[in-house]
Amino acid sequence: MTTESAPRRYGDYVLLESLGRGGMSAVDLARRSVDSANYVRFLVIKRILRKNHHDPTFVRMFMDEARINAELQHENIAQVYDFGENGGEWYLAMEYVPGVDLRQIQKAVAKQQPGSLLPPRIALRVLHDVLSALQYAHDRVDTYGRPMRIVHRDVNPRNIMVSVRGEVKLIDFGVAKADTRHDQTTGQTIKGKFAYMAPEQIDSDKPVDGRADLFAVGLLLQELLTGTHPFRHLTEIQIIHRLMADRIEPMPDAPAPLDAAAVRDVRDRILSADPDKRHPDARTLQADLVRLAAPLGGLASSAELAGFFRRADPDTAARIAQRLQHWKDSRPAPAPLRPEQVDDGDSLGLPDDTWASDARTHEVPKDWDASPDLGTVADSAPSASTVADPLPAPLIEPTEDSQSASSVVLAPEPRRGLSVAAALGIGGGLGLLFIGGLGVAFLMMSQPDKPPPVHDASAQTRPVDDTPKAPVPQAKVPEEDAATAPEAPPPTPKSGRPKKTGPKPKKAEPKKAAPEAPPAEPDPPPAETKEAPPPDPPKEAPPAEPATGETGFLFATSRPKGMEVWVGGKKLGVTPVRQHPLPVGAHTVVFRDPVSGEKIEQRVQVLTNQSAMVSVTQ
Amino acid sequence: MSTMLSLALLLAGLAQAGNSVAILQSDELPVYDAPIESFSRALGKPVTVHQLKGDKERAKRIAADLTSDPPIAVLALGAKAAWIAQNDLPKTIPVVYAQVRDPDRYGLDGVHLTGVRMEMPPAMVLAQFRLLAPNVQRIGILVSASNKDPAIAEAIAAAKAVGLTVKAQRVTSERDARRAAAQMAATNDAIWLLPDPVVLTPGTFHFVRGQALRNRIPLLAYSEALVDAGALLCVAPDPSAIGIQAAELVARILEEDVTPGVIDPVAPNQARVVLNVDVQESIGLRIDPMLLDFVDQTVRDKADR
Repeated sequence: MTTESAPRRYGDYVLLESLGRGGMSAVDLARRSVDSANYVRFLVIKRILRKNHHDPTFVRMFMDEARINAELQHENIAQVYDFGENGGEWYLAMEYVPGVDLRQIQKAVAKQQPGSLLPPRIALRVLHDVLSALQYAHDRVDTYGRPMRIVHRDVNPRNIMVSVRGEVKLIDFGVAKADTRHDQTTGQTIKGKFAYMAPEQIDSDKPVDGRADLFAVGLLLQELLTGTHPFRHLTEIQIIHRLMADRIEPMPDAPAPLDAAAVRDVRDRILSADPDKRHPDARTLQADLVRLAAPLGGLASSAELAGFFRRADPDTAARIAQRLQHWKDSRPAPAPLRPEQVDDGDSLGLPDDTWASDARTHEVPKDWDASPDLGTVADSAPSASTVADPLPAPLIEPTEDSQSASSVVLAPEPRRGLSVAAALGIGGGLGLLFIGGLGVAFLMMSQPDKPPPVHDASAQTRPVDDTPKAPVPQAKVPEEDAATAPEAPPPTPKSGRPKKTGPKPKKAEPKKAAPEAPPAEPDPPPAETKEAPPPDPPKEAPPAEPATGETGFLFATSRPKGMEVWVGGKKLGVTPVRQHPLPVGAHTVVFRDPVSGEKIEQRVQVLTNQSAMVSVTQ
Repeated sequence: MSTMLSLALLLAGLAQAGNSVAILQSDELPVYDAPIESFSRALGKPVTVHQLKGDKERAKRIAADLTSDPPIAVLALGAKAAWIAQNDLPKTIPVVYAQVRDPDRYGLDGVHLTGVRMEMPPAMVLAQFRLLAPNVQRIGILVSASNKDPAIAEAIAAAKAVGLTVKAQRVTSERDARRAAAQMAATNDAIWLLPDPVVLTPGTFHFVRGQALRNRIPLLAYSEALVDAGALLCVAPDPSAIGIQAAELVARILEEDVTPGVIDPVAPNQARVVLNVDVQESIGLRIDPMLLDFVDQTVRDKADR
């Protein structure tokens, strides 16, 4: 794993902050600048985590994404600037779209007023631009004039970015199909999101072309104009069933002033199970959308779209502007990391071929392994040492795992992608085999980090501050010598049943709990919220130590306990509040007596992954 | 249409709508009580608890029953429950697992399945640990040469990221582990035990613990059992919070059009800190009383009793 460290030099770029990280890859906001020319370009670096370089499927997909994207230069497609290798990592340098994906826009609109939708002129404009991108991709020929026959295959709201400038960008050609792909998809692998998938993408016997992408646009059309989706709340198998039976629920009427019948006609045509009955190409569908928008005053302009964005999600728009201004003016990049600072686990030099005999397989629920392919069926007794064991019984967590921790069962090596295949061995049925195929497809789709590569993560990240750490009460180890502690008798071997631990204190509220209103009296909590950028972006280089994330942890307590703790207008809980993640930077913590309303403020500096502790005594 | 597809659709047709969530519990262990309770409370939907009692045949019978009358979702607690849910339930039933250490090892991966992991994010572990033992600058990690768990590398990276000097030593045998532990205890400010069955046998744990006491350095563990046995403290997942996280996953799957398999398993978001006060006193670690507010439970060293 590569240590997250921002900002830091990365080849010709400076990685500024993490925008997302999945099991397979990481996405960072980056900057390319020429100081002497006052030139700054923000971009996104998507890189395969080094631990995944051994996964040839994923690496091939990554390279295909780069290869396909590199051929695409269109105003509605997030562009790839660069592709290469840095420090042993494959990376893609892509256009940074300062905005959010369409799903987030939908949520922001619904948040303002439940049930509300994007204005139809805006929605049609977005789809129109997506179709522009698709038409271009479908028609694209490569450098040598050969048709690339690109099909995106994953058109969905998460892959449509809307920028604060009113641009619409189609992103993530990670599962796109093209004749130049090295990783040619076969009938056994399904790529794309089921809720937006065309029937021919599921049926391996049928060819897939650009009209499959139009099908997804049809579903989006219904979703954006009516707030409904024909496959909502269905499992993927149910979706498949509906698609293959050509059983898509009729569309409810689009609200006025749209012409509901005209919208339905367009939608029904696009969602034809037979591709030949759909619009022949994106351009034809675009024309239909223009016709739908005509009675409304035509498609929204970029300026209207930008204005809509700012109204729909003003906080995000402000954060993006602050972020870019901050990173534009912020400190110069630190020196490149030394190789030893990037520890991906390989530094342990662990051999690759030891998994099969790894004693960790002791924890496999041995008697549950019914598949002869998967290992030995062992004694089912949940005792600790019933079967000869070449290694001592490990000390493990007191779950039922520990009860079956002793016998030797060589479990399969259930790695990503293969794990489903392993499960198939148990299921044994062709139907399950197919579902397993779906599983593989989903894994391939989901594991290569779903955060869209140009997705704005909305500024939960803050620059590493190089101010001193928050005061932490020093618990010192006395320096005087102490008598050598006698060695105690060996710990009691683990029994099957772990002991029950003592009563647990109540924790903070579930994370989904809505934040309560800030204290009304006598004055509101301080202005620096966790969304707000640090008031004075640091001008100096960051601390020498590498930073691994964008947050630190706040611990707050008081005497007496039970005081409310507020940061940035949000109540974090009552004391003791512990390990509450906060963006790196300066914060004012407000302690409030829930009875008297008395408030005490404490400033605290949160550093990356560090604990910042504040306490007050009334 | 392919044969496989036809069969898949046939399976889909077998699925029936239910309105309750089934909880599969691997064994009758108290460790599952808290997550079941918090899960039920947070989800706000009817739940039915099925005790597998560690019995494979019983589990298969329960799986068959659930197949014929499918719940809207399944919470699988423990490796056995997750295993049976993965392999014996139709893939049309969303499954969320919890209380499974290293789920990749069981092949818990598929379109219908996601979960809450058992491993605390190392950054959270270190944040808690450094709060209570702020003078630690050099930390030793013992790991077997065969242990390729990514969590090990993540732990090392996290320790480095907060400025600790990390000494990770690979060992290949118990004897090797003891030799390394002795050296490690003499040259580091703390030892961090990570899940590793080769290193963490009762024998080696006893030895490492003794070395830590001898050198008066903290021994950071990952489970309460080890704190009971003489480690200084552990930062382990809070079982109640795990139940709430599982409920949030189930709710998301049911209320949004989200396929479980596209949701990455989530890490625990709340820790439970257990401190062995006998060990604390033995190594002379002074902890400000205010800081003890952040310790969930203190225990006495059972190994010495």
